[in-house]
Amino acid sequence: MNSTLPGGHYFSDLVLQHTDGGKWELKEPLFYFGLLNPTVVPSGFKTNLDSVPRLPFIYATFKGRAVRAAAVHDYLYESQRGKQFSDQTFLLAMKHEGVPTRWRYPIYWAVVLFGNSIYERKRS
Amino acid sequence: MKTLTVILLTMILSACAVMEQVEKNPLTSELITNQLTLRFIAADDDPVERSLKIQQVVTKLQTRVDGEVEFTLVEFEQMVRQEIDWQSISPADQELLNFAFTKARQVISDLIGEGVVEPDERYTLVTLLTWVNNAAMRVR
Repeated sequence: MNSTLPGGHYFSDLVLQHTDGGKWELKEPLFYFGLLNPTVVPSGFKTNLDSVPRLPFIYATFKGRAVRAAAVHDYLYESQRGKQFSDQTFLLAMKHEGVPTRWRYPIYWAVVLFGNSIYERKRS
Repeated sequence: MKTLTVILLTMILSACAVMEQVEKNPLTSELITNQLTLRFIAADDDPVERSLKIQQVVTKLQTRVDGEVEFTLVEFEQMVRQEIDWQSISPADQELLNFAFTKARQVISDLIGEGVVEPDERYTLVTLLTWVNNAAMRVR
């Protein structure tokens, strides 16, 4: 199953394919231009967007609202770019994806507070 | 597309301004070169293919720059232009590249002057080519 989300001003299109393992695989590289040095998530990167803690209310509000930002965040965690940098980039990316303030800050603080174990797990 | 073009032109103008400080502030210049290169790549329907083409062109140009044959800045610009498959890119991207090449040559000319590019001046070209290549290599 393929899914394409139009990119807009800050992102390129996000082209995903659902894999048998329950993850999503990027079929095209995802560009995020919200930073001076853009982030490029390579095609073939597999994600289940699990760098965002699955607290029920977080997941409910997050689901479908910040998919590109979450893919970028997941990639930054996976490539160990530093937790603080990854989280701050995620916050900015959510803003650039159009996530309202009332949603993006709870999500951001969730990854700040509960993302350590996930970041460490990605290290191994 | 218009918005993207305006953004790109604005960024190129900014890049040209900071390129004058390549030696003083190489990090900023490198970051803006990354932006420009990646935006040009992202504008293509197949970013990976465009990225590979850019890497091939850079490799070819680096070989020329590293070689012993003398060339002027004008000749170098012509070399670059000849490597572009103009028919395969959109009119907007063509306009963008034309503008970028012209401005880049002006700025580099201000840095190292016109005429034959001396061996000790070639590092300016090598540095820029390396930055472009490094940015393109991130796309896969």
